[in-house]
Amino acid sequence: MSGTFTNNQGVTTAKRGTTARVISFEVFYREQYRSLLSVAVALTMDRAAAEDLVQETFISAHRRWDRVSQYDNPKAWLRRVLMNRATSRRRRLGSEVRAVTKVGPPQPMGPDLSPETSEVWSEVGRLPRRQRQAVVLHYVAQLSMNEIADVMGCSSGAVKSHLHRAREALKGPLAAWKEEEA
Amino acid sequence: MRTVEERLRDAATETREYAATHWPTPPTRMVTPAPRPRGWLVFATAFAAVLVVFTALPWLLGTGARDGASQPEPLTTPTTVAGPSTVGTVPDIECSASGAPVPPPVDGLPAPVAETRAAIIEAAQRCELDALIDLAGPGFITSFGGGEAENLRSWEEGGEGRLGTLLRVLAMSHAVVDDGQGGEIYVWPSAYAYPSWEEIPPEAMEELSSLYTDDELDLISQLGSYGGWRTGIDETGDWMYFVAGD
Repeated sequence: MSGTFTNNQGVTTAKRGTTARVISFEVFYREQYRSLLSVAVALTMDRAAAEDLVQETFISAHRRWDRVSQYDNPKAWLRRVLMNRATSRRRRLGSEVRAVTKVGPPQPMGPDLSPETSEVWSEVGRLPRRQRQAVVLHYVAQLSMNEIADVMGCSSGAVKSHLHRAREALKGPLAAWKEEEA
Repeated sequence: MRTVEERLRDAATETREYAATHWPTPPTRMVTPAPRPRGWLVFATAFAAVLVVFTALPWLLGTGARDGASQPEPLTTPTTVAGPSTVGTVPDIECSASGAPVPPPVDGLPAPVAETRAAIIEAAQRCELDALIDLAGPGFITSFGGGEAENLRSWEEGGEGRLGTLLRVLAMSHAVVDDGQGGEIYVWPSAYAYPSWEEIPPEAMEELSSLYTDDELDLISQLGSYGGWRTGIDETGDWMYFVAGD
């Protein structure tokens, strides 16, 4: 085990009376990293920013691992933190871009995705925040409606509604892009 | 022409494949935090240190009671050390939050907001500045001049700690305000949501009395609306600010 990981802090057992459950932070990190990174990439379209978001999210989990590991669904907590951080980043970027319009906005370091996929996420990025989150959690993270509802703190019905509205909103832009390419 | 559903699925597949080529980067910043000292160990160490000082002081000053006629007064528990930690109830150390009321849970908050509020309360109650600062989102402010979350620490270290204020604010009623970008912010205390001082209802004003004296409230009222300490959490659970003034 790497020296940078915790030992007993990263290991915990389930509540008394239930089947013992041992969760290692290292295992959790390795299991969740790629899934979380794909979500972050879709949300930010910026490889460096996505990696930073994921790293920061895991740091948060690591700092309170003794508590997080005992949550019913640590994965949902992790994704919620990532979503919050991504939202904060967008808000902060919005302010920064407004502040530097004279010299031009910062150019993100895009991931090595195809132009078509990049365009899809760019369009998804223009959706209202809740719709954007629902789309990324559904398609990229491949979570169920109930799991998405858990992450977003709403009902599964609300998730379905966000997804429906998102697909409707995307019909125009994605079809238009296809026609231009064709 | 492919449907929106197909394009989203293809984009998601490519994105997952892209992420799959990236093995987790070493979590270099995840240094293991120093183990929290056990309450009894801190107490024993502090007790021993104080005992040594009290015993040695008379000798050092040349007025020592070598005959044992003058004994130090019984020692009391050092003010900076409490008993063994009980998670969520008794802090290991004292800070400006010590003695502040524990805000009760609030019904009806969205889960992310309730969770962040509970985490803030727990961290403040336990005087855990690192944990508290970590809860602050990247855009978090403690002043309109761009004050960062680190101010929470510097205020404590400078003797003007605000963790107690934070707990008292979170113990008050809350309001939901528009963030101007289509989102909502849950704000404590609710007095902040009223556009004018005159509109603040008596019960909300009564709450402010737990934080301010009458003279202080008079001063704040001159701003025209409530501009005292307040804190906000957005609907996603992002802790956005803990500020005073305007």
